[in-house]
Amino acid sequence: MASLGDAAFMVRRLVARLRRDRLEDDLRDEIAQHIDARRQQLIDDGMDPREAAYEARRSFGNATVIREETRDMWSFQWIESLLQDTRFGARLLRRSPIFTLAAVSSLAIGIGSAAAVFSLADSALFRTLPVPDPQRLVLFRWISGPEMPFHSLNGFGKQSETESSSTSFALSAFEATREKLADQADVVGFADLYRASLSVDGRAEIVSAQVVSGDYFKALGLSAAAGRLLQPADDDAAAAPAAVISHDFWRRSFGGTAAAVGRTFTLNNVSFTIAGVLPPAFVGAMQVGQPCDVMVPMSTYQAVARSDEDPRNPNYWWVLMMARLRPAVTAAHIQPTADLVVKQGVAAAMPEFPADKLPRVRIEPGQRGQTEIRGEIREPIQIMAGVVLVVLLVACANVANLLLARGRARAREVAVRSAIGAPRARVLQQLLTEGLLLGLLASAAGLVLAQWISSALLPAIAADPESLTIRYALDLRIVAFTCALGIGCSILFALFPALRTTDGALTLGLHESSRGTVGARHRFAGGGALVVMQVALSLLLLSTAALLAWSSARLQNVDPGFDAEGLLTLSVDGTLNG
Amino acid sequence: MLGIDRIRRTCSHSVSMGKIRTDRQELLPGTLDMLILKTLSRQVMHGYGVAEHIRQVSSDVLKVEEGSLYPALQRLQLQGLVASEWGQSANNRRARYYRLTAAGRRALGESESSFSRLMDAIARVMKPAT
Repeated sequence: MASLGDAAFMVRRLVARLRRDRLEDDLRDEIAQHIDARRQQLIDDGMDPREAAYEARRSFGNATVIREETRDMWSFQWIESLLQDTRFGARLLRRSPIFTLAAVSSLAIGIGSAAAVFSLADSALFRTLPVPDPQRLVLFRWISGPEMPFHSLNGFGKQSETESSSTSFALSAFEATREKLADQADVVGFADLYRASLSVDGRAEIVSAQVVSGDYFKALGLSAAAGRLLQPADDDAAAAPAAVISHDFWRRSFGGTAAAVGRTFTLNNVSFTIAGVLPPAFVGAMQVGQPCDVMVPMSTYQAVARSDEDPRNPNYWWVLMMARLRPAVTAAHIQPTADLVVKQGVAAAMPEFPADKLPRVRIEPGQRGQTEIRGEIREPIQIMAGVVLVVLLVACANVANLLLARGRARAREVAVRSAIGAPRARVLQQLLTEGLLLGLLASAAGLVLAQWISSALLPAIAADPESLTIRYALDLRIVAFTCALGIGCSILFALFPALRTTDGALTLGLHESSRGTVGARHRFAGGGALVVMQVALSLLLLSTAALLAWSSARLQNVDPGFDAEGLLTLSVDGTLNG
Repeated sequence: MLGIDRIRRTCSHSVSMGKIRTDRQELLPGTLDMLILKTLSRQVMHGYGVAEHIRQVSSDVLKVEEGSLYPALQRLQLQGLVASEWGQSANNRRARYYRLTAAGRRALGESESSFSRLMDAIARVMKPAT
């Protein structure tokens, strides 16, 4: 009820603000009439007319003050003064273009780098799969001792002295898990075909492809952008081979026309008909930045994979599993079943495997897809975030220094404003608004810069940036982040100089002209501290940058064990011949 | 430095000189709104009428600076307690008439009862029943 009343109050105020001129005329009329009526009354009571006019005015009080008081009620004081400050600040910035350019470009580099790293981190580490309810997705990982519970593995495997682990399973394990967990979760399988040769109308190209189980899209909750997605019926050796293509590939190779649905192509010499197109954002649940162009049913794996292995061999582990948990089911509920299935599978396929060392299954969060590459690039991104933070702080210190120097030049202006009655808070607001203006200008420039900065940063994240499609994308999250950063920085760099400029402004500023610069000496203690901070931050920056360079060099220069100087590599894959 | 301090002091001095001694009573803070609402609860009035009414009924004891009535009326309007419209005055001039809204009537009831509680309490302290 109170909030409703407040809202009504605000609306009435807003209406009053919009009709302000009219209201002011009304009030002026009303006051004039009041004074006139009082005068008439006094004359009627027998007072001398001149005396009465004076007395009526006196008993009314200060009409100008009353009009002002009423006007303040109609207007939103802070918006008015904010607009005023912004106009004044913009004029000042236009009048000193060199200062503006220096401050904005210095900040834009800092803010742009931060936006670039945020964008990379966002797409690589934070973003979840573009499917409904991604929190309910889980991945399966087996962990065992150093002994390998299989003969051959396709996928990411980790092996150390004491432990080996992977997310690849035997086809039989996938099928048994899916069946046993049918009441608790929708378990789907998929596997990477890596680079495959796709040929359409005699035109061949290399694409990245995956096989998926028939219920993959239903479990993920996806619907087609055109045509239809794969269904369980497609995942059958007897079915006509159908495929779905990514939205990006659809646009790239088929111009995004609906006629693409129903076209045929060959993938590694196997013929497929395009059933439909994936929704725009979805590029599979594989490693981060590893998008998929084409998805075909799992039943075609043996024909398409060009693998010598029999996919039904229980000792060939190649299926990645993902599950969507039903409501009220947790990872802990399904772990024992999956664990048992895998243990039984290994025990049956490898009777000689020690029974106490059978692999155990761990359920991992799956809302971001497969995790191995993400784990690798986390550290470089963290270091990079540290570096850009320091770059940003140095930029802020730079601008703070510039503002401080300018504040000295503006001391007189501030002093005059204070002398004619501006409270300190009002002057502070003016200076902070100018800072905010700089910050927002720099944010806009930074958003543009971020695009180049991020492509320059990519090589530091991954040894092979071409394989990663983590790209800078200008979206609402980045814009919001950058604006917030700009505002935060503005406060950081503008507050201290503004406090110093307004500190004792009245006395010092006014006397500056008569006393020369004698009074200026003691005012710069804070400036010294700023310079010290700048030097310290720069040193920190230098050492962190060196660390980053070293770690990226380590990523790129893995010692091949032979002299690689002057060698070129060329890869020819005859089997991909479309 | 001294010069400016002196200027400030002179200013504040002149402000205190501006106050004129009077036998009329200053209003208790916050009571002006209640007086306006009470006055308007009897009939629709223009601003001058409200001031006259308060002056006459209180037999010139309550000192309402007439000008301060107008910001108060604006505030009450923004709060939705009072509404106004322009009409003809008795001597055939354009005048703005104020009237109480339903919300204003409720607010008046609330402030009246809290005011009378306050008055009772003060009266009991000042004239204890011996």
